[in-house]
Formats: sequence, C-alpha cells, structure tokens
Amino acid sequence: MNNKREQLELNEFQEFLNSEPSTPGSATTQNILKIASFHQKKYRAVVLVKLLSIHLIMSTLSLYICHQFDMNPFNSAISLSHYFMMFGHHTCMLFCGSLFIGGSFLAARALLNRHEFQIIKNSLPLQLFILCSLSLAVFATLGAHLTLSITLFWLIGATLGTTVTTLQKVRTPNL
Amino acid sequence: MIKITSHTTDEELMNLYLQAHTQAFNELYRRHSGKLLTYLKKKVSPEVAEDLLQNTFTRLYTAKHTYKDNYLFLPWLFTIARNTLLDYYKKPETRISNNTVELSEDIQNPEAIESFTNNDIPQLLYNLTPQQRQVFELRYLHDWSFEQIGKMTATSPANIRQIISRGLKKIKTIKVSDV
Repeated sequence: MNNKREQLELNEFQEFLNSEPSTPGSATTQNILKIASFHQKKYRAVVLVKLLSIHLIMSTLSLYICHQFDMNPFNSAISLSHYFMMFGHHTCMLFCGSLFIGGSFLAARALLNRHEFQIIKNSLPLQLFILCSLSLAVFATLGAHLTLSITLFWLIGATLGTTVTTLQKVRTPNL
Repeated sequence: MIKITSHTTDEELMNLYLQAHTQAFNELYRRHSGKLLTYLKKKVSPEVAEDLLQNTFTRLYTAKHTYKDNYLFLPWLFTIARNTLLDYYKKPETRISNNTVELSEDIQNPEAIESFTNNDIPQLLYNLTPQQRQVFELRYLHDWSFEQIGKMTATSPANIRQIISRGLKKIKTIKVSDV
C-alpha cells in the first residue's frame, strides 16, 4: 500500500511539474504577500526579543565579574575592571563595553540557530544600537555616573566586541 | 546585500527566506504559485484552490524549521501543498457534493483494488469523479476506515462502500477496455 501511495504522490508531483501555470487572483496574491511580510516582521521581532533576553541574562551575569560604571549589584569582591584599570580608565571602559555587549552576541551566536543569528548580523548596527541604548539607559536609571568621554569609550568597546564576536561568516550552504 | 536574480536557485531563495528576506519569498511565490494553483484546481473548486494556495504559502512560515539544507525546495513545497489539501479534506465542514447515493446496487469487494499494479492506480484514479477519487484516496492511500470517511463527508459508511463499489466498477471497465 505504501508503494502505491508513493507512486501516486510521485505521479502527482510529476503532474504538478508539467502543469501549465494559472494566475492566482490579485486579491489572493496581495493577501499572501501581505501575510508573508507580516510573518517576516514577526520573525525579526521574535529574534530581537530572543537577543534581548540573552543580553538581559548575560549582562546581569557579567556584572558579577566586571562592574560596569562602578556598579556592583552582587557585591562581589573581585572585578575584572580592577585589572582593566591598570591600563587606564578609558582602556578599562573599552574592555568593559566589549565584554558587556560582545558577551551577549557571543552567547546569541551559541544559542540561536544560524538563520536567526544571520538575521541579527543582517541588521547588526541596529541591534547594537538597541542593546547599547537600553543598557546605558538602565545604567543611568540605576544611578551610574555616565560622562561623555567614558561612555564614548564604552560604546567603542561595545562595537569592537560585537564586531569580533560576529566576525566569522555564519555558514550559509548553497549561497 | 544579496541580489536576487533569475539565476538564484529555489534552495538559495529558501535560505534567504529563512533569514527573513521578504524579497526571497516574493520570488518563490512568483515562480511556483501558478503551477501550485493548477494542481489544486484539479482537486477542488477554483475558489477553494485559491484559499488552499494561500494556506500553503502561509505554512511556509510555520513549517520553515522543518526545511533542511539538503532538501530540494520544490518537493518540499509540494508536500506542504498536499498536506494542506489533505487537511482540507479532513475538515468536518468539508462536504462532498451529492453524497447521497442509492444503495440498490450490490456492494462489491473493495479490496479488489489491491489486484491492480502500482503503476495502474494513479492513472485509474484520474478516470473517477472527484467525489470517488477523494474517497478512494482516503480509503486506499491513507488507510482511513469507512466510518472515518463517512464522518468526514457527512455520509454513512454504507454510502462510502457504495461510492467505492461504483468506482471499482468504473475502474474495472476501464481496465477491460484497455486490454
């Protein structure tokens, strides 16, 4: 019976391949393209939410080992910023920004599937802007003292960290 | 930015679609919607065929995670279309038109279809009426019981037996005339 089913499916597929195309109604086409466009937007939004969730977890955890803008919510005794400060305040901010944002992209790379990560890569500047803006806004809300120069270095560090963690081409077969 | 051209294969387009490229979907739709519609029109009414075409392409999104890199796109799309069609048949509101059949004729042994060769069946089924073909497909290709088919088509299992019986007669006639 399975052979008969397979044979019929094969014949139907052959018939489908050889059939003359007919034109779908314009209303149907418009509907389908509209739905597809909506789905794609939804898909991108879902990926962004996933990235934000990963960032929320990773950045919170990173505060345990690297106190950003002197913030130490876990009251941990050791911070990488202590070592980074050996190279100067601005260099420290470069490393901090790199670790804080780059770490999230690195985790996203590990946790998301390659298509989702490619979606992030396709709009990397936007994703980076969203993550940095939200992070700095939260820092400011929690009372961090953000000055222009150190924030700028932090942002440069975040950009460098993100660039490095997303540098390698994501495998895209057939492309 | 990847440029989509006529040389871009379906599989490449599908990969781009998985990366949320709307243009890739539009191109896939442009390439294959016509043939899919023709296929569906052979199975159901033109109005329903357009609805099923829409459902098929909508399912591309929900089924996208089932697509693997080593798959050929077209058979995968066709499988989705076929499943969409079968789901439509299974819907309780789907009704076979003219489902009242006289029960005066003798019910023949439906298992007689087993005697035909694999190559015969698809061709023979196309000689049946859409109603008979639908019942035959559900019964012999999807192994549904008479009761299940009856429930789906809002008719009695006895009527289903009758529809199959008539279909078999027709098939036998065709077979004999072929010989």
